[in-house]
Amino acid sequence: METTYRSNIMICAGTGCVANGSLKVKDALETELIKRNLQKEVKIVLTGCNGFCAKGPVMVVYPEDIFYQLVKPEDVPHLVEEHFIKGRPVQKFLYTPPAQKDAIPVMNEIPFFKHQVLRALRNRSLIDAEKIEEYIARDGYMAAAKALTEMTPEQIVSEMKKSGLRGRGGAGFLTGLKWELCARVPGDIKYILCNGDEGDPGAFMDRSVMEADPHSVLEGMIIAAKAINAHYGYIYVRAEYPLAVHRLQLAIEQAKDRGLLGKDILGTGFDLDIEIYQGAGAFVCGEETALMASIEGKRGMPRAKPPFPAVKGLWMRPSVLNNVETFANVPPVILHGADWFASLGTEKSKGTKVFALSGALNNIGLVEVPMGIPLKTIIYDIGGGVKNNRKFKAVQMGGPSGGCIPASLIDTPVDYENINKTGAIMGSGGMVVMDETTCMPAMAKFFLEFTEDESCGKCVPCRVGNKTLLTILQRITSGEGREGDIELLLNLSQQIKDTSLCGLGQTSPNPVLTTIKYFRDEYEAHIKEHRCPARVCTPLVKFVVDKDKCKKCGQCFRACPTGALKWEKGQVAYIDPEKCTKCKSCIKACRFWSID
Amino acid sequence: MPNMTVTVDGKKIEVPLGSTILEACTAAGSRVPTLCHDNKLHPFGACRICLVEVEGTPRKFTPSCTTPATDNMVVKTTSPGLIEARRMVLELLLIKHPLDCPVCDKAGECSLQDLVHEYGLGPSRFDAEKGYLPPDYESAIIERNISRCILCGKCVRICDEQNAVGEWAFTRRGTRARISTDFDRPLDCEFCGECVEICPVGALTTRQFKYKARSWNLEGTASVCNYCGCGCGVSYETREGRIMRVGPARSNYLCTKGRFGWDAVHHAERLTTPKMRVNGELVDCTWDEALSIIATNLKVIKSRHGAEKIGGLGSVRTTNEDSYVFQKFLRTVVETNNIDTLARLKTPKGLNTTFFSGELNKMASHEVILVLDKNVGEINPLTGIEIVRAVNKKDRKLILVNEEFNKFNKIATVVLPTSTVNALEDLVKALSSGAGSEEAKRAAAMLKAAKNVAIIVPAQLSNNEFPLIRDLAGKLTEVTYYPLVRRSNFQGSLDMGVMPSYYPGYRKIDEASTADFAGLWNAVLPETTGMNAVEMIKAITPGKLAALYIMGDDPAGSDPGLKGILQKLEFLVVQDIFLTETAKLAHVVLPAASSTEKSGTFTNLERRLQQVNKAEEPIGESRPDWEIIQDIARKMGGSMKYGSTRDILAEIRSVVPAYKDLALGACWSREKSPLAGMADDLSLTSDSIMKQEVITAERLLFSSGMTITRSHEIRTIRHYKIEV
Amino acid sequence: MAKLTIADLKKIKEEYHANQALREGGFRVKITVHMGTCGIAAGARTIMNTVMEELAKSDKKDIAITTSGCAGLCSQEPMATIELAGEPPVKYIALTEEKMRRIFTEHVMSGKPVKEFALVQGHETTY
Repeated sequence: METTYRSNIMICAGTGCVANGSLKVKDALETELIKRNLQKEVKIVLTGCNGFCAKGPVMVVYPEDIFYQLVKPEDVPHLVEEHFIKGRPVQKFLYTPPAQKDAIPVMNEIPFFKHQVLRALRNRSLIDAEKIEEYIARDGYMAAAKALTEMTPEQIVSEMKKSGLRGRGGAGFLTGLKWELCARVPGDIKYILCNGDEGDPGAFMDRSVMEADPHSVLEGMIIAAKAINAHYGYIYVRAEYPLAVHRLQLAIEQAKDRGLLGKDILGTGFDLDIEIYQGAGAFVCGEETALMASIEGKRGMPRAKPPFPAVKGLWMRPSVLNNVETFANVPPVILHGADWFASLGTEKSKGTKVFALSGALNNIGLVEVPMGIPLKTIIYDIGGGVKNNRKFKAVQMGGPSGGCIPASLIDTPVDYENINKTGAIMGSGGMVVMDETTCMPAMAKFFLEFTEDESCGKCVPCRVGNKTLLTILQRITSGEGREGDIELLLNLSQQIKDTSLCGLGQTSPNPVLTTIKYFRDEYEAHIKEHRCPARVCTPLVKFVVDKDKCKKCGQCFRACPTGALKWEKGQVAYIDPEKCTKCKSCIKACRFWSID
Repeated sequence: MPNMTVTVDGKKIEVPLGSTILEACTAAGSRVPTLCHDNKLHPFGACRICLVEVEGTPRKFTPSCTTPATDNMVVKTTSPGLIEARRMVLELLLIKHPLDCPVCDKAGECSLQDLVHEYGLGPSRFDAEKGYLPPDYESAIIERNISRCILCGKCVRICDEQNAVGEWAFTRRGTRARISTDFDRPLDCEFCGECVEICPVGALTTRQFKYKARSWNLEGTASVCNYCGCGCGVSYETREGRIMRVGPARSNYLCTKGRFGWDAVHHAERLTTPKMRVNGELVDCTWDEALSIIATNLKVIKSRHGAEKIGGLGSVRTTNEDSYVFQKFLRTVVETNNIDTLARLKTPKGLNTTFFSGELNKMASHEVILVLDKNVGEINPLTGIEIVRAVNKKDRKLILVNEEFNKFNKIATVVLPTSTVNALEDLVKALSSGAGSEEAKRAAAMLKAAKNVAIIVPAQLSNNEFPLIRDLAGKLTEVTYYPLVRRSNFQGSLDMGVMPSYYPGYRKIDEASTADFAGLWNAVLPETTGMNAVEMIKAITPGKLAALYIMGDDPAGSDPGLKGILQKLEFLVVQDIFLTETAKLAHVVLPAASSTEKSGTFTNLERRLQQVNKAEEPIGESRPDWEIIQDIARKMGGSMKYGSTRDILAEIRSVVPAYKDLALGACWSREKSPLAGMADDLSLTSDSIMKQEVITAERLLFSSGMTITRSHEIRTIRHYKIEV
Repeated sequence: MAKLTIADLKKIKEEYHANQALREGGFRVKITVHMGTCGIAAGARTIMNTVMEELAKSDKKDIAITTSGCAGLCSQEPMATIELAGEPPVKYIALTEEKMRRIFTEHVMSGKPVKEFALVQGHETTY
């Protein structure tokens, strides 16, 4: 049976505090508590850094939530005497906030920050990406040093496998296993590749890492290179990220200058040269084999697998391709251990994931959360809920390869398996929130417009099939939907998924499948009733005020730019079809859905 | 090669390790439809119609063409799901594919048509979006109908993998993707037409065949191309006795000349009647008249001046039978050994003595290929193709001697950017002393390490190049030569003894051999060897040669300087298929049947004996060469009485040891030649004759003596400058 | 530049902390302007210029100015973080030139955070 403690002391064991002696404080506390026979009442917990490094060693005592700073081992007996026995917080060690403290909320009082745990983004807002010293100052390159000097390739692979880190680019393949498969292949020339193409619309996680913390990518690549025995690497960055290209280039130069890249890294005898290769505007080049073809100077078209890149990749040499975020996660795994990494997350999805929140949310931005966090927490707590007080309708996860998750599934824990069960995919981390003013068939059409445009054209199902899906969706959203279109979309979508050559075609029908699965009624309204419930598809909007629903508030009147909308106080609104330009300003202004 | 067991549709089959699922299915006899697959090409996996079901895999369908089979794999090639999936692929293709069947040349041999029929497609689930794109009519020879293209990529891949030219590429993306050239410009390639051949639909067609016939109207006659020494097998496809188009036999390869240049024989200016010179002008006459004039004149000149003043220039484009009868006529009836071909001026020294060509389809068996003639792909295209195949498919190493840049530079392992003689010197030096440039040293190391080396011998060798090649070969473990031979039956003409100092079968003319042949032929033979071609030409002006019988050659056309000389002859007979520049000077012109209009045999540069078959009736009054000569022989009292070419071949087999047991399609081995390893030189040199040879096109590939100037199709290639 | 050894890495880290840490006698204030693409798109360069101007006007030597990448709350860019020695850093959001000047005067120079422009104070949870 677990003892119930009456008090918890959270002692910071982050780098800063340990450097300042927090572990000695902990030892002193343990000794003192035993001396005073309080060890069964007061629990000591070691925590990670929570920010006030300048005031370390720090500790927080619960349940009173008292924050002590600058505690030294010799202060401990006095502290225990006063606080735990006499019940009087010791003034000397209390954190004295500036006068405004109560006015400005603390980090963990703001839901946006409270729920986040930064691992891949561990250096967020703390370092200048163009100064390698700042990266080193935050334990930068220590993991690479450890991997190069204290670990064998097998040990590195084993640690990565144990950690459970899965590819953050979307496929979610076990990173350690991928490295192991390549490490096993004999060969003097191998390649370590980083996928910085990030083609999903609405995804900017990798951009942030490459711009703000380029060395974390380089360090991850060094460790991976050691594991598979590669001495050449490429970072494939989309040309639409010039700042990322610039920062990565600078980082490589600075690292090379300091002997952290190039020949004989850190004097360990290990060589690794990394070059940047810029993309040329093709989403399909985010696919592994197309990316390699692109680096080889060929047209970015995928090829069949097998042979798998781990065996025959770039220039037919064994290669490992990992996503930017995956690499950013690697140094902490090596530095702090697989168990530490696996301490967050769910059984099959370990660690944290960076999500790019966009759409109809209040807090748009980049967040990193532990796997398993409920979707609801991300949308409402972190994201601050739907903008303009609208109702949440669905969230698109995984970009154009993913699917929408409706409100009924908002409690879904966010990890690979649970998201897959809904029909969507985790993807690279793009989350586009949609509210009641989004038309789901139009949304599916939007994504198909993207994938149809980006399809390389090699295989028939994706090239022609996506166009066909798009054509049908275009018909539906312009009022020419036909009986049987929904079944046709479902049937063709599944066939395209089953027969396409690469991931683009294998997942592009997902938006169609999920929107039909969860919002079939909307499709039916478009087809059978010639009506767009969200009032988005202009050909299906009648621009007629429903007299029974009109609340006579006049908001629409104030919004109308052409004077087509007629209203007087206390009257039902009326739209003059002669003057109406179908701009939908009235519909956007109406909170009661009174205009059809 | 270790095997594995695969079960296909319930049937267990053993296939080599590394086979694809498609190969296993084919071995098991299960048919899997394909559109983008071809055995010549690396698997591509684009069309998705070859999908099969494999037990125990996470994905529902597996592409059989690209996926390797594994031991104990269980495969199903058909199921309701697969049929539905294949129908979907076809349905999707038909959205855009125009319903051009009534006007499309490919109908009847179109993979899309066949599959749509097989899968019983009816009304489509989808709306058609035909989106007509105008065809490309601007390129020479090949017409590109982009709307019909299904983007299987076979044209791109064959031009890249087999030809190393890469003229076609995928351009643009998605539904807007097109197979095209850079900037959509007209074609500027080798115009071999391999892309047209391999296109499964009617997206690539040829202008030559457009609207000429339906594929099911055509009858194929297997024969041999009459252009270069490769002797590629062709199939003359005729409709109602007239050739409509030519395709490769045994699906190997055809170059532009073989595939499209055949139409020279359909040129309007084909000779159809004999002609004789009356009052300085050539007028039509009957065969009887022509042959009588010839017989009479030759008899008179022989008695007045002696047989040694009569000579014959044979052809390197006529059949072995024609050549054999030609030399036999001159030797047994005219009684002269003044017999030769001018082509010996354009042959490498050492051919048939030192250099005996290996078989072209074995090119890939050599670890290292040393190309001494950068024009290998222009002179003997098939040799060039086999080199590309060896490099691309079997990873063989290519050492290329090339001062300039051509397609072989793209696939070469080492390039020696210098002249052939310098390259040879550098290589010999590097092999002996290890000294030299980086490239020479690298090349020498590769050559030394190789268990066997292929050496492509240039079409012509200078005096210092020949010994250098022998030196080089002496330092290597094993060497197979691949000499370049410019004309289709040059080898045959040598084999048949169209030479002044050798009987058929390379027997040197001396007392003993003359006695033998006199017995074999039951005739009186001249006692001394004759003049060679250069000597004969030189002998005309001083009156030492009075009469010349030229069969199937056009010296005045190739070297206009010879016109004046030939006019000095007392009597000139020209037997040809066109009224060539030489024929215009003749006293009698005889119309010969072309190689499409008669049968016989050719011997190509591999010394392979191949059957030429008659595909069309001889035009007008033209007749096979051997028949004409036989008639003249008989008019002159000779006893030749061959009923058909079979009779002639039977005699050849009894007279030429190399041909004795030689099956059709087999190559005779060097041991069968008395000259193997000898110092004889079968090449000729001259410092005045054929020096200014007229090249009839910017590229050697599109040129081949004067015959090709009559090919309408080849003339449309923009490089072609000469007007005829 | 000399090639580093592992010992050098540790040294750099310690030196950096020693030199850059905010303390009396060293830097008293650190201003970080967030300049990821989101920040730049929202106008972070103007904010940076404003800071530099104010710095020049102040003629102070104990103010450190630096940049970093995206701070995470992209919709509220441009953002800047002001950290005074001995106090938790304060994140300001939705900045304009005027706001930045006021923050400089009141928080940076006089030590009084401008509550109405601030979002939050403290560090995030990292390791």
